[in-house]
Amino acid sequence: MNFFLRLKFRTKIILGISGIMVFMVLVLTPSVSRIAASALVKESKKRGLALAGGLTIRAVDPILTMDLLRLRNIVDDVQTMGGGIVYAFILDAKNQVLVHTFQNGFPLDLVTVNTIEDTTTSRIQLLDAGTELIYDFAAPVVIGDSQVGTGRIGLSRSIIQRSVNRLILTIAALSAGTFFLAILLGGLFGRWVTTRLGLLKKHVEEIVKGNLDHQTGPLLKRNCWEIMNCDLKKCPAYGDSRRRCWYVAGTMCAQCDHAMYPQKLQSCHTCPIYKENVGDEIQDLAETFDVMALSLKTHISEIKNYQEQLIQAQKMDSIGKMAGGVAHEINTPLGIILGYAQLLQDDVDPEGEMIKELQIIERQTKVCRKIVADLLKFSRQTETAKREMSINNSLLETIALVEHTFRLDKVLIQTDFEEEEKNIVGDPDKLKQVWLNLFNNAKDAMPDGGLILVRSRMDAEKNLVVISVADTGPGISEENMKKIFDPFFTTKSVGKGTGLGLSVSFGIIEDHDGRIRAQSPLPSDLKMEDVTDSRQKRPGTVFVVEIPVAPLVSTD
Amino acid sequence: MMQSIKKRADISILYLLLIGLVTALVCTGCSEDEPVVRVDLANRTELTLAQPAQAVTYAYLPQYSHSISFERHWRLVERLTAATGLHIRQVFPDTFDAHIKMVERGEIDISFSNPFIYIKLAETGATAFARIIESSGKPDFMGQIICRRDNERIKDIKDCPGKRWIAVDPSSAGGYLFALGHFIEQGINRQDFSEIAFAPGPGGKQEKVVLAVYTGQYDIGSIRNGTLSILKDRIDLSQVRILAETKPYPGWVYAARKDLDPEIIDKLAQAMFTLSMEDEKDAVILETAKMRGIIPATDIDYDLVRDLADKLQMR
Repeated sequence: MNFFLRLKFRTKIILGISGIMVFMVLVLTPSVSRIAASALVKESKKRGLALAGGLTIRAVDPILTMDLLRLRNIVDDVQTMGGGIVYAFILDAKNQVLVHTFQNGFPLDLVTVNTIEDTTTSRIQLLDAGTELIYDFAAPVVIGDSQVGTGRIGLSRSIIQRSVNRLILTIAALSAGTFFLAILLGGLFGRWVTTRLGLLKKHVEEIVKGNLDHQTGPLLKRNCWEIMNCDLKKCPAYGDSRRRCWYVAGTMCAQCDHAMYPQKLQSCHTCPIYKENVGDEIQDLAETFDVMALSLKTHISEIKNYQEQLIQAQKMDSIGKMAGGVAHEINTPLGIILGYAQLLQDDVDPEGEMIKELQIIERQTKVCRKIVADLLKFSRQTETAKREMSINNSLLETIALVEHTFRLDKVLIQTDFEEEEKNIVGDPDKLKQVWLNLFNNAKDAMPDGGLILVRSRMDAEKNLVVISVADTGPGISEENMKKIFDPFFTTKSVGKGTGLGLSVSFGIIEDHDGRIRAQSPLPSDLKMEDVTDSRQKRPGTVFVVEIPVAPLVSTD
Repeated sequence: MMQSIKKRADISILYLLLIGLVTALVCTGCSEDEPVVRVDLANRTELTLAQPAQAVTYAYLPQYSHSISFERHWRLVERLTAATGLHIRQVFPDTFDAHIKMVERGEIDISFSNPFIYIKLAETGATAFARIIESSGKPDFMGQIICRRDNERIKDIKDCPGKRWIAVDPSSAGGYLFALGHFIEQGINRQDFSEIAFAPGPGGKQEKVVLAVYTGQYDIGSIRNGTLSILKDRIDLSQVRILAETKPYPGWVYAARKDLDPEIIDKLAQAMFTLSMEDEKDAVILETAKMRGIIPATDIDYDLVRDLADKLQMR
């Protein structure tokens, strides 16, 4: 058993087919041969009886008239028919040989070896003549109830046997031919199956190695959109030559079930695409592997994305805590420095050099305090004054503040606000600071001018207000994208920014139980023409802020 | 490498099995399971036919095939052999003329023939000694002339001239010759009919005449008596009218050739006369021979036939 299990699949197929064929040859061929041989012998016997019967019918009148010439002609006619007829002769009612076809006398043994006892039936007797076997057929010549003679014919059994042997050899040759053909076809079939299984194995090995782009299923001659003459480019199956459309959810053909695979497959059995492209079980398996690899790839990307977000969140949390701690510790000495710097200004000559230096100390100390204050905001350790407010109004107020200045720098602001907006609970000043940071960032990214699109939307499903601030700037590289919310990270030149704007915004939004994220280049769902019409095509960046809608307050 | 060798060895065993099987099959086909009788075909002898023993020869006028002649009379011949102790052998002349000539040459001792042949045999010296009782139960038989009952153009025999006549056969006594003699006695000759046709053969000729008249193909027909009763279940006999009947004539006759030993004739006659339909075995013999009995006859009984033959210019 273990030996059999160790055999290759192809060998097993060949052995299986060989086993079946050997069984068939062993069981069926002997039976068929025996039946066929028996049928051939029976037919030969029937022929002999028919010849003997014909002979006796023709012999009736000549026997009555003792017309020996006619009788002789009759037996000669029978013998000239050939086909193994050894002899023919006719006896009268007294078993006297009237005519025969033998040369040089008549073998007397024949008269008594096959005697008819019943006048109504013929008789067959196998004779051994030494050199050959002969079937002797005896048929009575009967008129009414009276037997007036007997017709006898000898048919060579050896000739019948030769026909039987030819038949058996033919059957055996056919069986052998079928046997070899079955083995050949079995081998080819086994090879075909094992080759395809080998491809599957290789595919799995590639997956194990991490190569999820490897494809096993054969490429289609005609894809679904070609079969259906379809130009629905929004359909997820359109242009996807890797997957059969029945594996793709959300396909847009009228008859398509919108469920996922495999439930969807129920609606595919009558589909012309399915009928044309469906393969056997192995092809199904290969295609399922391909779908699995693609699905794995998607899921792994999502997991990586979530992982990065988690790391980022943890990092920001740690940085926030540290920044908060540091700011607290620095805030007091800074206050003392500032206090003393201001006190000292009262003690020095107002026209002297010293007061200028003290003013520098005071100014820089205030800068430090501003930084510390920002750090505290980032770490959400500042006081907030939240109330129910309108996002659209907050955005409009901030836009009004900067619009004029921006226009001077050739940066235009477009708005696209949700008409049925819902209020949020937030700190208006802090949120204004967020918008201001985002607008300034956008403007700074477009030194030669550009367009800023400010959009607000309601996400009714998640009960969020979604604010997008998109620019037509050069975008953010993938590498920088991971760091943009880090404190002190900036791509601006020294002295242009502290690198705390986005991190402060991040902290404020987190404080509002919201999320802020950036995306570059711009996604397709933003109206690109609105954003890029005035500039050359640049990837652009969008900051998306999601803030929960204010909870409903009961009026009771 | 070892695995490959092993696999080849396995397949070789399969092939060997197959070859063995083919051989076994061929041998199976050769096997013999029927009882065999040994014969020596080399032990040969030149054969000569034994001369037939001296016998009284008996012949039935060959109006049918030899096998029918044999079939009808072999039981009667066997009975006569048993009853007389004579060795009687049935012989089979091929034609009527051959029958007459064989009687004349003495090759047929006892002839069974119709009356018209008998009068020819009598001219060679043969003598009638017995005649049969017909299936009708009478030793005589007659001819009948028939027409359709609704044929208003034929009221009686005198209306037959100019009509179409179908008869059984030119040599048929009851089916043609008797009727022709009757017409001649009525002054109507062959040429007076618009057509004289004969029933197509072979077999069932008497019935074919009746059917031809019944279906209107011919105006009149001639048959031997007894034919209509054979057809009573097949056609509506009330549609057939018997226009005339001929006089009765003696039926089939047994005649002994010239110079046959009278003792033999007597033995045979006595054996024939004892056959009776009352006896079960005799009835089988008589029915097989299509007769109901055999009664004595003399040559004078056939003068009527001779007269008719004269009228018909057959002699």
